[in-house]
Amino acid sequence: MYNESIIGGEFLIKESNPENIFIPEDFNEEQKMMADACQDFLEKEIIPKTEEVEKCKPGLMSNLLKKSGDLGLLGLSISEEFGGMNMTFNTSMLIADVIGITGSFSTAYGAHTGIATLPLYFYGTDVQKKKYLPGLVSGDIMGAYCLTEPDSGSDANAAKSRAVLSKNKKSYIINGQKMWITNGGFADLLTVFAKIDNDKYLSAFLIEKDFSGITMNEEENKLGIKGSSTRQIFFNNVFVPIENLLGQREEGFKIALNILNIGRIKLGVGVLGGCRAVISSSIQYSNERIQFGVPISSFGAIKNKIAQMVVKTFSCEAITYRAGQEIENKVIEFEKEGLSKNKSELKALELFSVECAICKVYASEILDYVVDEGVQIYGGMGFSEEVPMARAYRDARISRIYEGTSEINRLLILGILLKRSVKNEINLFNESKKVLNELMSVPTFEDYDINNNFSKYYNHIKKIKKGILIIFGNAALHFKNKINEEQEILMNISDMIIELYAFESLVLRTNKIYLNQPNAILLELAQASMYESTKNIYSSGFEASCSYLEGEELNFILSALKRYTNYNPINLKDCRRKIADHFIKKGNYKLFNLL
Amino acid sequence: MNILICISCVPDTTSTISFVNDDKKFNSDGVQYIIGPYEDYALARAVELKEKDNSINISVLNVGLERNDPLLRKALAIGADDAYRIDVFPNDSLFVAHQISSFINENPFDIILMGKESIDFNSSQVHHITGSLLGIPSLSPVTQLDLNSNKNKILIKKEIDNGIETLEVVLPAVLGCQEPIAEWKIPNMRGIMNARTKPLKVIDQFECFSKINYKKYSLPEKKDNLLIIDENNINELVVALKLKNL
Repeated sequence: MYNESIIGGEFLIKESNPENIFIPEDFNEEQKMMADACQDFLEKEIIPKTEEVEKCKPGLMSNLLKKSGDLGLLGLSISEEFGGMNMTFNTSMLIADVIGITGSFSTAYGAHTGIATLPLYFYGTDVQKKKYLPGLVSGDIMGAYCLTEPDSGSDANAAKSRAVLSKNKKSYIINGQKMWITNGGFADLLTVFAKIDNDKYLSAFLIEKDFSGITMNEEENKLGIKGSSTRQIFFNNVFVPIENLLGQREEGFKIALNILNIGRIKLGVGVLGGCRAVISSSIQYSNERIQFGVPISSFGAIKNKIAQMVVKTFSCEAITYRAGQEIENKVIEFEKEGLSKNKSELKALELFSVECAICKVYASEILDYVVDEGVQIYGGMGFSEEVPMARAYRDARISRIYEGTSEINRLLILGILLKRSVKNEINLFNESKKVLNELMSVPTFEDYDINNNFSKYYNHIKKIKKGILIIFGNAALHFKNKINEEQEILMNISDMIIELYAFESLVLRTNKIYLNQPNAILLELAQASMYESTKNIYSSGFEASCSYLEGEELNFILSALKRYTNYNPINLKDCRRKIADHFIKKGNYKLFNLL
Repeated sequence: MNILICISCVPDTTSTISFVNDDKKFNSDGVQYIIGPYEDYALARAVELKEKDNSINISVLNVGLERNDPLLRKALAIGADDAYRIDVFPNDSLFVAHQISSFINENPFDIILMGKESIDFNSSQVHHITGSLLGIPSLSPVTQLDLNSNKNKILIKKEIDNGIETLEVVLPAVLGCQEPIAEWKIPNMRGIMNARTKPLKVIDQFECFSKINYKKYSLPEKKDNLLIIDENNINELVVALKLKNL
């Protein structure tokens, strides 16, 4: 049914149809019941304990994780033979979305179920899995992932931790130091990355906390997510049985990178619960806060903020679940070809690593935007720890840093696309040339179906794609294999691609909902997003071009950019007011009850 | 042992209440429905009993329209074994009790659990009418329910004015439940996935004519804003009382 892309990044050169993409509104009754159950769990067990969690009350976080395990939340995507639920990819995305509202708990949950469980699940031997997975799924074993070191963060493979074979060849002896280890304070099983002897690449090891030689520092004092345990861990002559090597020797680096793909898209979807909670609180507060004799939600300045928070969050929901489904489709396809579910998932995630990175960058930055405006709407109160806005603001900040910084991910998006173009897996260079030829020929008039409310947006999307291809193609041609040295330009082009994906996904989602529920507010959402994304795409393209071109060539590229980002002006103020009024009247912004 | 839980499907407690058709009908547009909280407790207690004695069969029953099916499936996810829906609009307490008692006449149960009241119309009558139609005991509000070694009897605690009554009740019986009979349960993921394999039967209504027509709904009058007066400022109090002709 939702059969769209063959390979990640293809959206740049391919038209999409609303019927072929998945939108949150497509979730079925059972999936919604799971989301509701999860929400009930948070309201009953987690949210009332927020204050204690934030103070890192000993034993509490692992106890809460265990309780979530009792509900089945720790093994959503793990197969049933290990006690898991074997759920589809997008269902596990939905649960990550709901849990996202909890900040510290969400981080602990995400680390345990993601980076701490999945390397074992994807790369472990049967013996290793039987030994540790059921415990991780039930919550009897707590997990942590130890990759980062004081001198190796984004450059993960530069890690200094070393492993050497013991004399009797039965153990590896590990020495090294790891930092920023989420759940470090209570984890029983650590997935640790270290180089064996003088290997070029890292290897991964399953290390039980009770192995002798492991010590740790006190809890880090952090800016946000204060309730999640974050430790430095030291490995001093730790003997690890050779059967605890995870994957092949030197496969650790690959494991680390592949697991990050899944972490990124999960982080993308995991910010949504927070975004919605902040928007709903902001709407409620602005409805109740009276100034100059009226609720502040009646002011245009506040409406303008609410509308923008809504549009961005709505598009973020659209991209994460769209990408989630594309990954799921691929998993099913690979499984049909005879691959195991594990291998299928890994392969699918790798194919859509561009989308995973886009979701991570876009979502984490939108969360930051939303919490910032949330504090602003609360005014002085937003700056007080009396209301949850201050905590939301602090908790949000880490999202742009962990699981690959925004910068690393922006570079990654372009890096992958360039590599795939060179390999001819997706031919962006050719498509770019086609646009160049079009530019040289006589322009044709825009023609769209005035009876279709969305046709003008699809036309605009087609144009923007051409604009991006021109900028991308020209930069690639100009810098050739030295393009990696031009990080600023790469990030500009990444921004254009991210905005395009967000805008296109929003249009597809609004259109798909509109087919069943022709509500005018959907058209306003599309309109507001068109303005926002086009503005950003133009300015990023402008910045990129001015950064290396001049004279005639610059003029040519800029006029092309203008031509492909041009559209009939809209009344943005009225459009945003209508969006804000809709949600102000509803009093909240909820995933399954938008209209 | 067979336990039946009769569940009401009621608007979420945060719903905005409004009326349509010249105030003759409740406006259900955009309203989120939930299992009545008191029935949620009853169901949770039944599931607890089943956890100790797996031979117990738990059925859930709703008198209502198709939109309630997701809530019946939720009850199955929480732990009920089968579900029934009598496909008719639940017009009033007598009508609903007639439907339930006719159903029980055809499908006997040992214990029939309900909430002490539904939280929409709050009539608190369905359990007692059902009990009298069936000619069996009905007790409400019940705060504790335990099985007895004698399978024909149960032990219950029931709230009365200024105290609690502890009773031994001969089965079958109808109980209207309230907290702390059990802590409400969140369906776990496995339960939700299993729910799709459990039966949900939709049955035709039993012949019975409703004797109640709704003339008009109205919202309670809006309460005046609370006025806080300083204890040293009696004059302000006098002025305020005079303004209200008190």
